[in-house]
Amino acid sequence: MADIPLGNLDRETTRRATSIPEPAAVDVRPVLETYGLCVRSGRRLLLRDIDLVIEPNRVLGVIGPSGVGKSTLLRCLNRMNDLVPGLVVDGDVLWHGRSIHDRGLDPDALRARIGMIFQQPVIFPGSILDNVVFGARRVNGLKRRRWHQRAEQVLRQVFLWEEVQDRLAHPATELSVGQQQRLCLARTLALEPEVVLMDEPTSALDARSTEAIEQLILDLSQRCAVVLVTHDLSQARRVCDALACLCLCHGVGQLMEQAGCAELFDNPDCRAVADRLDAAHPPPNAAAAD
Amino acid sequence: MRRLFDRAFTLLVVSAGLLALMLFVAIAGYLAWRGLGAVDLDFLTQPSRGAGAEGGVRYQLLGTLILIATALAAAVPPALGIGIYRGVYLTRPQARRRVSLLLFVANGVPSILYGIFGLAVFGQLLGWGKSWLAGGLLLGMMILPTLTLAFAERVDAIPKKYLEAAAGLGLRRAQIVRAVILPQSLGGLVSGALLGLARAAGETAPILFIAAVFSGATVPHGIVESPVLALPYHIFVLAQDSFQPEAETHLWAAAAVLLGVVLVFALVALPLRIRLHEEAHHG
Repeated sequence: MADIPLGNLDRETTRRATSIPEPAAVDVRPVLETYGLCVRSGRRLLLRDIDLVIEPNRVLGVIGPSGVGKSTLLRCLNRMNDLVPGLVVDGDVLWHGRSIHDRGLDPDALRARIGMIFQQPVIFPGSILDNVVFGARRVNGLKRRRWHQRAEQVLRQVFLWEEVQDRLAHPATELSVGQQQRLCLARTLALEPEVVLMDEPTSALDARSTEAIEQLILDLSQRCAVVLVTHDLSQARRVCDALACLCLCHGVGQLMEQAGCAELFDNPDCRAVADRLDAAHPPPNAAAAD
Repeated sequence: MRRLFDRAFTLLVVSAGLLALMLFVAIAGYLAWRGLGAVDLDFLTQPSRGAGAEGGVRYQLLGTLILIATALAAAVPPALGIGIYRGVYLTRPQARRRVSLLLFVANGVPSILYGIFGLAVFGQLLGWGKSWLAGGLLLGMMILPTLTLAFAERVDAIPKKYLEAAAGLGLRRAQIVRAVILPQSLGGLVSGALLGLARAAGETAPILFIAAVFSGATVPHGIVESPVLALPYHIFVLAQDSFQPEAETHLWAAAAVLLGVVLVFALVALPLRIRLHEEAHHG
């Protein structure tokens, strides 16, 4: 894997440094859109009126304070919230213009097309190879004779092939946490998703593994749309094309702003972003006043 | 003070463990002392003669194994079904609790009641008379709650992250059951089967009514009026009715064989359970 110090670079500088071309602006129709999305748990409203647009080949960062409902929002996009008893979703999510709540739409097929990476890597008991093809063999009917070939393809995409090619039959739990997270990404990519939802994928990783995952996100945006929930504003600046800022209003998560990354950082409407930017880079007169 | 409390607690726990161990050693030791001397290959392979005072326990052992195997075959599929339905398809915690409560109640039903129920259904309603199949099915019903509870506990213990990750990849519920839930919970089914079969192997009351006779049966050839001999019933009759000293020796020998059957189950099931656990957690 290219060893690139991502540091405080912004998205454009990172693209140039990693020789990742700007995605061709062929199809800018949204892959996913949400309209008036509300989520309730019993009587408690968790999210209110979220209107979000997710475009192909773009990385959308979702930022906001803890407990604002970022992960809940993410799980609405592939109907993972259906699996949580007591959670009610109102409003709509459109996938290529069609409601994901349509009766005729298969939620399992939807989840295969809209993959998800969790905060902590989830490794199934079994070998590295078993884990890579775990979904593809069951959902796409990948034949056993093609397992190895498919595994190599996606493990190369996540820059893990060189590290594991000699031990595909070894238990996947032997891998480091960073490698496990890349393995999870490979497992999702084996299903050829259109959108990858990432719920703070680097929060459990060290700096080096975080760099690797960020590099992967940039690379991944060449093939599909990425929605990245993150707490780390500098990470958002490095890898996201656009940002959606959620804030708590009277205890309910609301979308305050969705804008291009540079626009939002340079001129933030969202109080949470402005506050955190101020905290990171206090104005000179503020320091003098203190 | 804290150190004193810690020592007292350790002493209490160790004493409780030793008590359980001593109970088992006392029972097993007494049975071995009284009966093991008469157990040899002939005793295991010869049919009993002279009202149980002579010969061996060939057909009693065979009958017991038939009953246990039938019970296992009858109980495992519904235990899997109920456990999976409860753990995967019933999403409301209240509904799950109700199913668990029903299973606990069923687990506590005295075996004599199962016997009477079996007599009414298999013996009278279906007209099977005394039948090995009726006995096996009834024992299966009796061990079903034990099996199901052990399996359901394992299903509940599966970390949610595995289920979420599998669902996130687009697996259907049936595929999640096959790929995630079963491999991680079969150990519980083996434990439940071991507990249940150990109980079933020693039960006399249910088979007394509908499956077992003391003599005159060999290998069953049909279902209707096709009873078997069984070790617990054999022991029960010898203990109750026989006044011959030779019969007493056979009684203790048959009891030692029954204990041996249960121990063999444990010896077979334990490595299987460990292997399933290892495969489920480490691949």
